[in-house]
This record gives sequence, structure tokens and C-alpha cells, in this order.
Amino acid sequence: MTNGKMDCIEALPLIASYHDEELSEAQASPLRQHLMDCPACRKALAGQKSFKRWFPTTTEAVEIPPGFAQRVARRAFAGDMGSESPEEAQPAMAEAEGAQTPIFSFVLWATATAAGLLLVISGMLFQSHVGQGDNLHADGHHLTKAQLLERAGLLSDPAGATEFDATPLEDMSDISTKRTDPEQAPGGRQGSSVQKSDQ
Amino acid sequence: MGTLSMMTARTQDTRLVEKTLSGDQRAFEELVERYQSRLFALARQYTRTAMDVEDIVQDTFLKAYRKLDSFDHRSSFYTWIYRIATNTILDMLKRRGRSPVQSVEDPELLGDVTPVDAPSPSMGMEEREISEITMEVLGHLPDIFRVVLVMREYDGLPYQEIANTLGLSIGTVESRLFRARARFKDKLLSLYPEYGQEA
Repeated sequence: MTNGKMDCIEALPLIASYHDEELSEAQASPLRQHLMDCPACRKALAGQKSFKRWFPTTTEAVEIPPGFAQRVARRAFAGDMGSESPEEAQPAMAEAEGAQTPIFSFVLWATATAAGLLLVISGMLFQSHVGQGDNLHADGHHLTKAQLLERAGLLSDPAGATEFDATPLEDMSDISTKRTDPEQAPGGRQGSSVQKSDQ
Repeated sequence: MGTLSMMTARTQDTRLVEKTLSGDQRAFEELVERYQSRLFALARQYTRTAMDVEDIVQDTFLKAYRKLDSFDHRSSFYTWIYRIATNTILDMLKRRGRSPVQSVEDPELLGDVTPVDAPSPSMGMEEREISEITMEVLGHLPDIFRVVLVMREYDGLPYQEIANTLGLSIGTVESRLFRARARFKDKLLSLYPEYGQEA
């Protein structure tokens, strides 16, 4: 600024902001004064106004698909993420949840571990019970082997089933043994009765 | 819009946001209805493909719903959702690899920013024709320039608002706008040299 007056070097960079009404009065006042005296800077200001004409305020009606608002609201309430994948949404969610995320991860990990352990223990228990006895009880009812075979669909002959029905399971250990190991002596597992009941 | 009606609109938005947060789907639908036209118009400044426009607006509302509890009412609902829409648009542009957001330090971007005389549309040109040319030129600009131009020239946002939305300083917005305008003029003249003759 020379003698309190702005020159073109100082004025030109401010012209766009002046046109955008972004200057404070302290900045705008000397520029206004300069513009009155400087045709070149006035031309630059006119250029800003011409430029603005490439961005007309549209009067074109915007077409909105019918039922758009209803559809979007329904999708939002159904938990729809739109085109954003859950992975993309995670940082925003993590940001919103802050410190809860590590706790949530730990709970997930603990639940998964407990589920795995439960599965292994169940498997071990099942293995130890299978084949330890032929006398099985379900819901407190004593089932004969024929009934079990019938339920499993292994005995299709109803007459045979009737015949087997009369025979208590304890007395048929030999049949069971023969089925699993033909070489084993009869009665090898006799007396090993394990009670099994549905949980 | 008068101050009173702006306050009324803001009060209504607050009520609708609260009702939505308490599980009222119809209230959210009403919020969508209130702002869908403006967001459709905003999205159309970046793409003319009807399906893309609809996807952008829909994603914006779905994101807004998920983050609704973080809306603190310090700004208007439109300002808040406008930011979400701008980020959604930037994400979409980035995903499509149209022109990844480049650093302003990129020498190519810093190139020649000497302001050229601003060509202006011919007086007889229709709004639609001007918009088509503007869209084409904008489509050739890096996103960082395109976004500030749209926000300033179409939406008339003050520098501070642009800075808040994009997470930039006012100084950066100012210099980016300066470069963006220079780039727009350069590209316009390279695509349509006839406008240079009229300037």
C-alpha cells in the first residue's frame, strides 16, 4: 500500500474474495477505493461476474422418483447400509462408540471360545457314552432295542418288531455285540448299563 | 426465507429428529421429504446419471439416519446433511476412480494458475446449454477443485462453511478456489475456444 492507497499487486488477489463478499470492511474499503481508480482491476472484477454466469441458479425441476422418501425411511429402519459396506461403516461406528469397541471385541472373543469349549466337551461326553451300555432310557421311559431300531428306521418288519418288542434290551446284548464285532464273545458288555436321558 | 420461518423450520427439524430417534419411521420419512429436492439438485451438480443421483441421495439419508444421534443441532439439519452428502459424493467419485482426490502439492495441480480473462456464456444461450458445458468442464477438473467450485458457485456457501465441510482452513479454501477458477477457465477455453474469442 503506497500513501495509504492499495496498488494492483495488493488488489488483484483480493478481487475474487471481494466478489464473494468474503472481505472484512477493513479489507474491502481500500480495495473499493483502488477499483475506482484502476480500470485493469475493474476489468478483473467484471471477469469474476462473467465467470459466475457459468453457474446459473437452476430453474430446472428436479425429478424425484415416486415413493422415494417412504422407501428410504423403510430401508433406514431395516438397518440398510446402502452402498456402504459394513467394513466401510466400521470406522464411523468405531468413532461413535469410542472405548466400547475393545470391550465388544473381548466379549465376542470370549463367547466364541466358550462355544468352542462347549462343543469339545459335548463331543467328549458323547464319545464316552456311546457303546458303554445298551440299556437306554429316554425321558424316563425304558426302551427296548427293537423300539430303538424301529425309531432309527433299521427295522422295517412290523412283525419282527413285535417279536423284538417283548425282549428287554438287557437280554439282547449279544445282538448288539455281534453287530459291532462278530469275533467278540457273547455277553462281553453285559451289565454295563448307562442311563442316558435327554437334557 | 425470513428469520421467523427459518426458526420454525429448524424447530420442526429438531422435533422430527427427536421423533426419529425415538423410533418414529414416519418422522424420518418427513425429514427425507423436506430435503430430498435440495439433495437431488446437489447430486445433479456432480453427475447427470439419474441412477447415480438417486444412489447418492439415498446413501446420504441412510448415513444420516445411522449418525442421527450425533447431530447436535448446533448447525441446521440441512448444513449437517449437506456435509454428509458432499462426503458421499467424494466417496463415490473416489470409488469410481474418476479422479482420485489429489494433494494440492501435486505439481500438476500447482501448474499455471495465472488467471485468464473470464469467458462468459453467449447471451442467447439457454440455461440448460450453459449447464451442460459447465458440467463437462467440471468433469475434467480434479475433485478438490470441482467440489469447491460447486460449493461456492452453485450453492453459494461462505468460505467458512466450505472450510468446515471439507475440514480445511479458510486460507486453503481461498487459494483452492483461486486455482479452481483458473483451471475452469483454462479447460473451458481448451474445450470451447470460441468462448475465448468472445471474451
